Amino acid sequence: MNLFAVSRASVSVEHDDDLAPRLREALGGPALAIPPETDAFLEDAARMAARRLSARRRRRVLLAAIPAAAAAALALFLTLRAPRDARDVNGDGRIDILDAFALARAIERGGALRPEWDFNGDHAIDRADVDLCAHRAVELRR
Amino acid sequence: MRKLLIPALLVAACTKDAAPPQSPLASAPPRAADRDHDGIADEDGDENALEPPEATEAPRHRAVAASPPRDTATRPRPDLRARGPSVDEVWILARAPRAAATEPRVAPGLRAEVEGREVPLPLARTDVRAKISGFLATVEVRQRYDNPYDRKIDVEYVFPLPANAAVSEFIMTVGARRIRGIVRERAEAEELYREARRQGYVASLLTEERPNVFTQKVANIEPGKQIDIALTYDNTLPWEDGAFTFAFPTVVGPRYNRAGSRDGVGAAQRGSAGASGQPTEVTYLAPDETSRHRVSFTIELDAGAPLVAVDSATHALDQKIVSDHVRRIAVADAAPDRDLVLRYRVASRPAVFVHQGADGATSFALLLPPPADLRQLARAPVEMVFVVDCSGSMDGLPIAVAKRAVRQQLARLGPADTFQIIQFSMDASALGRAPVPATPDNVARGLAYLASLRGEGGTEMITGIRAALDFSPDPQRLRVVSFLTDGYIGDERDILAAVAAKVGSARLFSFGVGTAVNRYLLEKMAAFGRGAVAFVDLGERAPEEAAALFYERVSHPALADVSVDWGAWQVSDVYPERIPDLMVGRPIVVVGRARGPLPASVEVRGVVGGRRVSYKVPLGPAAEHPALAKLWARARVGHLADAALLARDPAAIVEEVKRVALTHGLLSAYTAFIAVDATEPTGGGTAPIVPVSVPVPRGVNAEKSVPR
Amino acid sequence: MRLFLALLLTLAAAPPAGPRFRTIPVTVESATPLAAYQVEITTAGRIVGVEGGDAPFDAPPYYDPAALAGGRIILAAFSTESALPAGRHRVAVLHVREEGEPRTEIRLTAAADPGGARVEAQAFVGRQP
Repeated sequence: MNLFAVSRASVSVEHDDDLAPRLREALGGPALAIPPETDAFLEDAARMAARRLSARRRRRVLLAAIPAAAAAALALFLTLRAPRDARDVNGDGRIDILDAFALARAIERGGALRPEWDFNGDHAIDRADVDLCAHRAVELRR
Repeated sequence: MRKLLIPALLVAACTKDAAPPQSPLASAPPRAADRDHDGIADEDGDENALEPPEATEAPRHRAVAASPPRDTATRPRPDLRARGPSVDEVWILARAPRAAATEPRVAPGLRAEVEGREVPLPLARTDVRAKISGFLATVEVRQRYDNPYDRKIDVEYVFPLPANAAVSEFIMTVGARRIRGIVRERAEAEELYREARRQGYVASLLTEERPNVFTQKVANIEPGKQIDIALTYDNTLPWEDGAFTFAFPTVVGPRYNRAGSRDGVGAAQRGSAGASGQPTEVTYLAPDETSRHRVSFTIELDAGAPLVAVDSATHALDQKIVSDHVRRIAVADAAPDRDLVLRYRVASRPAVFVHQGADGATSFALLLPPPADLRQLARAPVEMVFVVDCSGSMDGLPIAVAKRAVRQQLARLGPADTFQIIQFSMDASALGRAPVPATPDNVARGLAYLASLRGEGGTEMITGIRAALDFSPDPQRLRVVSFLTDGYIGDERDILAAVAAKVGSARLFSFGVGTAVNRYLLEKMAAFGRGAVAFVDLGERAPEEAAALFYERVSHPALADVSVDWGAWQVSDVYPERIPDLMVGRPIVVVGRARGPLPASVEVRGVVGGRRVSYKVPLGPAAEHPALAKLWARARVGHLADAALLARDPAAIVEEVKRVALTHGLLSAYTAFIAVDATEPTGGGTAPIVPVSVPVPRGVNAEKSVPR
Repeated sequence: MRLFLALLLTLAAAPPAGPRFRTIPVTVESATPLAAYQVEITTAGRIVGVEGGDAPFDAPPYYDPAALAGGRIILAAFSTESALPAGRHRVAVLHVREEGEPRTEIRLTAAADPGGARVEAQAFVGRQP
């Protein structure tokens, strides 16, 4: 089912370093991630619906759901294409302390680092960039 | 944390003791303002503090040269009530200080060589850690306070910072615990501090007295305890004559206050605190005294372009080359008696820094260069007016250096130019009634007059301003006023207002002469006078170099009526609001806010030699710097402060300063940082205040500059 | 007499009248080891200092200094150390001056385990039983 396919792909994007760049390239956007809440919501909704419906009604509902699914997929696609704030390091659609934490972990573990995470433009991704990311998370004016 | 270097290509956008001998530990009375609020002696019956010293116990402060203990136990207690303003002076008696006036201290390099006894003061050291990116600096200043005495104390320290410093972070460390301070309206912060102090809590308060003079108060430091105060500021660094300059002041020079002034920055001898009668007061060590307070610097310099040279005429630098762009520089244990001035030359100048704020607006700092062809144009005849500060603080080397600079400039004048020499201290006098042509005979007369000048008396600078600007202008010549001074006056407002009111079409160039001059006053005089500032150190070649550069500046016309076409960039709130004339060798930094993508270039327009010119300034890739919003806010606060100087009713301006400062978490004249450790109050009632006494700046005659 | 003595004791135990300074511990409770947290606090008191809590959150947390004057503050911190606390843990301490009844509210907006995944957790202000 389309919804599941998209959802699984998004999970892969979060956890599969190889797939992410390919998908990113295919979609033409600078960043690609689906907020986990969106992901979980779609999966849960699909499972619940599947459980409730009889086999016959499922077919009918599925037919009726195709346009809705297509619209949802399009909305998701547009979301994916929208430029993401570089400070959303963990790609969950929010800017909070978890982004700074994700960046700190990536630096400590020697993980893949993106150039846009060089927030202070000093050609190095280091603690100063983590601090910038964390300070943005606690700004009340956001 | 591991540091990962990104290849550049990936980052696309990306005063003296005439009074009866007193304990070197004699402290200050609370100043008038504090007495009003705190009433230390009244509240706590602090006559108890006048107890005899415990001469047999070991000192808590660092022992220095081996010398016999001072016999403070037999010292007669002076009649405090006969000392006027010090009637409720509280004496702090330490435990047998061992420092004495015998062992000369000879330090390597440029360290101050002070012969004298070390007096125990509650400021142990200052550590300055600076990180410079291009022309932006982020500087952490850590002050270590401790209590070398046998009872609880409060500390007050008046210290300098650069006038454009945007102070935005304040951390008080008590033992192993670090408490971040809070910026609040000044009156509220002061009230919170007084209350915490009265209730016995360890507390600290940072206030701004002048744009470049600050007071740090720390309350309830128990014997043997240590409190660290760390503040962080950001500032832009000026480009002066081919190099960026990072300057860090370490001492506020002894300032002169006009009779009747009650809002100045005063100077008093150690042990005579309150004697100046000013709300802010610096107490000075006597020439035969020293303290353990030292300043260390660690500077990480990333120029953003290949570095050509890094040097300092004021301090010996320990440099480590990290890469062609990056140096690590250290200066260890410098005496706090002069500015550290570091200059670095780069192969190419960084042009612009940007930072996108949470509100979507971009803050930027842009280095705006003068047009390249100014150097080709010859200047028109000038009416050169030299104004030499001959007050007591200029006595000795400073006035000698000032004279050398004037001699150099006189020698360069052409036959079509005229000149005048004015001297001021308590009053002003001049070479003649009017400027005279720069003929060899007149220059010889001028040199003889110059040689007769001596440093003595107060700094009635206003008389110098009037003498230089009040006479009728020469319609054939541009008046260029060259003001040579250390700027040691307690209230700068009158001077700046007078310059703004009288300068007319003249240009005022200020020369700061000395090792720790009042940079704020000098910079503002030049800004209000549409000229430029230069700082003349007391080094061997300094006056000649300064004179040569000055001559270079006035030898070519400046680009006047400067405006910038920002193109599609939606720019607002640019400071300085009116872009000053652009002179040879003097690009300026403008800060502002903008929306939309950064353009490839901006167009600068202006008038030079009567004709309109324009030229493009390529911006190149911008680097992000998080401090830019704060720097913009500090520039706006500075702009508002200038406006308040000239306003009849500055109340609305004050409210705007508070709003801007609080929104950006900045220290200002109307906001302050407060930190209280509310964990547990200390016992023992309210503590007496111990001011941190400082040396007079190197080269300054203490006897002639600090009132007895 | 007993009533009088009880009244005296009650008065002696009562907090001093007028403004007083006190600390407000900020605690986060998480079933899994806590590597990061973010809380939003609103207080009627005037904040006069922000301090870290117990290790590994002993450094002062991140916050917006400009926001403090309003009595609302976001605190956040993380730790990449391997030894991380589970259960109740004091993550920060606010130093405040209060007049009258203290009123402080807290809302946890983010908490994460050592892998960076969001976790369920609760936040409290004040001393917990």
